[in-house]
Amino acid sequence: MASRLIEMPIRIETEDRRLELLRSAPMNSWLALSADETRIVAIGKTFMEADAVAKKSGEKNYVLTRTPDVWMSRALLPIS
Amino acid sequence: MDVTSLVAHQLKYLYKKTPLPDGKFDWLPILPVQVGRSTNLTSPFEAIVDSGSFDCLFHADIARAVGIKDITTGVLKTSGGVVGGAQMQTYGHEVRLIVGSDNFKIEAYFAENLPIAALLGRNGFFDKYIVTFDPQGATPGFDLTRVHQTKK
Repeated sequence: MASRLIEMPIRIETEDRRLELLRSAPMNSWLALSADETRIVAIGKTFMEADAVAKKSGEKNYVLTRTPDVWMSRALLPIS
Repeated sequence: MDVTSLVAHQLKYLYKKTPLPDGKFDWLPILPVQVGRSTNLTSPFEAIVDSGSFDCLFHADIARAVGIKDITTGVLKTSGGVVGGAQMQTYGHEVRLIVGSDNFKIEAYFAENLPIAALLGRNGFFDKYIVTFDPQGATPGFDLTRVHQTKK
């Protein structure tokens, strides 16, 4: 069995910055976050819009995420 | 069905903070993934690892990003939440799910009104990985252990 461990470069400060960024972002939007999650690289109404802006910016290793209509605890779809 | 399982490799990820009302927050098991179809491949995006979800669910924008212009051409499935009456129309399409250097075909379900980017559920994700959640301690996180299954 091969085993490898990936330690994500997350510190408390970075996580708090992530929270700040998410709270500051418009709802129902797509965001491209920098790899260290300390900056919003792009915002778009759609995935492709945010992705295109992020690519154009030259940012490397960004990750996209989506803000909901409201930040809340959710019981997510346990039945089908 | 006889199944032979082979544990291939293990990955560890830390939980990420997600806002809640009144300045509070929650730690969630969030995994960066990509979706591919034919020659199209999305940029990495965040998906919540959710054992409560039967299927892997994605916002319809992800479908469009891999060339599925009309999600309603897929297999219709109505999903519901724990709140009575809350239902969501989802449409299934075969795509490739990319997790790090690993990738495999799944039947992904897409919805226009999914409030988040994606959920990784039992059918398509938890049948590929043993997932161990560890929300305790200073660095809450989760482990993924890839299991390759061979049907006999």
